[in-house]
Amino acid sequence: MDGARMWHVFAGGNDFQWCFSQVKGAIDEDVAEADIISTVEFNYSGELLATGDKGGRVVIFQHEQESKNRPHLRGEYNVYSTFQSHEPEFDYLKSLEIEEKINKIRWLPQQNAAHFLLSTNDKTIKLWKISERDKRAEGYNLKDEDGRLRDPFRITSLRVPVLMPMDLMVEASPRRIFANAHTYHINSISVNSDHETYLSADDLRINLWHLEITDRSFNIVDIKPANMEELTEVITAAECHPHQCNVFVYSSSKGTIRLCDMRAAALCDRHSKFFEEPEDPSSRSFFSEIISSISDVKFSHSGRYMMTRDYLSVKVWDLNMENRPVETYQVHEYLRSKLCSLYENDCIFDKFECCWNGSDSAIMTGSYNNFFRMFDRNTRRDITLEASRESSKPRATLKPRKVSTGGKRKKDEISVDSLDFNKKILHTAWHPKDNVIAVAATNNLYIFQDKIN
Amino acid sequence: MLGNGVKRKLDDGEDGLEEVVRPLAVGGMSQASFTLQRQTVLNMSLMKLYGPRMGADLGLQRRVLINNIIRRIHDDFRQEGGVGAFFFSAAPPVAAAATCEDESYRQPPPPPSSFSILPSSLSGLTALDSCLTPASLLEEDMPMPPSPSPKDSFSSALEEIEELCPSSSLESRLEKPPPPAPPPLPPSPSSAGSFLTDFALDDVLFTDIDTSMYDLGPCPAPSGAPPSKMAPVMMADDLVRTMSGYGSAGPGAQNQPFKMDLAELDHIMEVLVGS
Repeated sequence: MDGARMWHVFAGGNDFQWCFSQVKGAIDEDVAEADIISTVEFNYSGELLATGDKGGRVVIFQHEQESKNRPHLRGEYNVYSTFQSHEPEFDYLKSLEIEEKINKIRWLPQQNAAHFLLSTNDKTIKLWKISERDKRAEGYNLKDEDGRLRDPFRITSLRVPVLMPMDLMVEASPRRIFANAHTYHINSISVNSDHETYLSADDLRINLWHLEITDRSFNIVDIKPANMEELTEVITAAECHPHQCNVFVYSSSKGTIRLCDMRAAALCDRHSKFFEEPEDPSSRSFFSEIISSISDVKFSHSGRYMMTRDYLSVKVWDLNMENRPVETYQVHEYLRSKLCSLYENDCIFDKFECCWNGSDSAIMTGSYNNFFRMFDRNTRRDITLEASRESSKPRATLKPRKVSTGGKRKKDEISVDSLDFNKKILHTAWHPKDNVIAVAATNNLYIFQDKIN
Repeated sequence: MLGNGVKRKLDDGEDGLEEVVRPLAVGGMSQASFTLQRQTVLNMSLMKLYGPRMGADLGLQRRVLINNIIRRIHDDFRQEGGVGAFFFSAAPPVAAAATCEDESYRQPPPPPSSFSILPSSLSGLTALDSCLTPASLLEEDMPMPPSPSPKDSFSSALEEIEELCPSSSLESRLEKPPPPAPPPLPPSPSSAGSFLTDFALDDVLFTDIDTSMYDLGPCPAPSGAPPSKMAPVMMADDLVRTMSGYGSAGPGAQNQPFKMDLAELDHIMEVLVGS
């Protein structure tokens, strides 16, 4: 994929268009709660794509090489490994069920033939090793082929075991379990650029872990007030800087972002930078705070910018400017008049995530009605696309969608009132190098790619 | 710092006036519809926090956000000085007693050191968030104040409640030693007493107002408002305390059974909260 084309990710003109590639998951209208996808993440090369679901499972898809006789088709993602990462648990001391739902998956940079990832539910983080095996040893002296011990009297000669080829097997094995360090629900994990440590954040605290050490972690942020009645703000997301291993950010439910430098102090209760946009008094409502609450924060690959998602918008911040974002994109501004109903049905608490494309020139985030939005940072163009079965014919080009905002509804437009708020796209991922995106729509995973003209 | 942050306004000089411009009233909404919407939002918020369907599975983040909404509306009420402010504050803490069995084990806090290495075996044992009382709602692992009792806080709390609950007579209440320490008052410049005098409280006020819709639970105590930026707020506890003659009223006030009950509940609350 040449870099130049990644600068133009939008339909129209001479650029390419997004087209359907694959959809994973059952077609049934009946959706099992456990099958709802709760996180999507490409690995660093983009060769693997991991999803986690509410049933505690992790499914990993692998990119198959494109076939020579069909060069117009770039490879597809096929299931590589599926494993149960977390099980439901019950905390007897607190009479509390701990859901198995996978909140986040983060890949580790690949160091050898095996792949490693971190997965977390509300309380426990696990380090998984995913490795391939296509050979097995045969000809042991003390065991027979089935693994049973051989009768010692029958062993008359020594032999050298040999490696025999076998069908490829992908194994996922838990290597580390990081438990008992979070009182509240874990909302973020982030692998540090030193590749040795990672952070985990819950509502009130952030801990720093070493990947090899499971029995201790360092508490680096603690915003829990002495008197919990004074609590008015929680941590909503946190991420390590992609290049500077001493820097991390965390966002809050009041719409602010704090950047901390771990060199300054062991406990980063004093931030180095504080990013906040002044509130516009004219748009103030009962729900101002809720809609300003940040649901996701992501550094750009370059490390120069970060992006935050709140309920109605995505903002791009320059790390060198704290008093306002450099770019603000409205995701679904037409919902501003519906906030009361969205509060009533709890949609206003939905945690939409956001992601950068590989060259940081475009961003993507989800919306309702299985719509997702892309914004080109250079041209400031935006587009609304839909992840739906209807348009999921092979190579079908995605038609841009429009929501009518007051006045007359034009043809091809959908009115705000007919949006389906049960179909929400919270989790999306963008391939780190290619124009391939993965979009989680309830229990289905859609993969779209650019159409090569 | 966190915890008492209030959003900066575009114009920092308008602090005192910010509540004058009513939210949503700006868009041409009439006063009546504003009031209606505010009441709707308040009802929804209370239902979300204390309604039968919600509760344990409500995350901390939602709870905090909903609480902040209630605090804000409460502030509005206070500034208008209406009756709404009063009965809203006085939402009876009945649920505190009713749900005391749900009150969860609360572990001793991790050392409040600034740089703590969390031992895996200790942390994570803290109490759950399934309780319905506002204090314990948000108080999963609140550091316990030094207590004279060597027993763990929960068992001693249970004992105290068992002693309290069977009898609501004046004698038993008076025989009991006073609570070890009064709960810390919020950093409020104006006392609860002065607030009450503003409204010339009398019993009619109580009987006139149907508070049954709020009987689902106590209202959250909006004590987190920073005194510098927001007007002082009124805690439900304060109000109850005042009504029961806990703080300012003379001993004669305690002779009325109605006030007696509130005092009992107040005490139970204190025991549960551990303050």
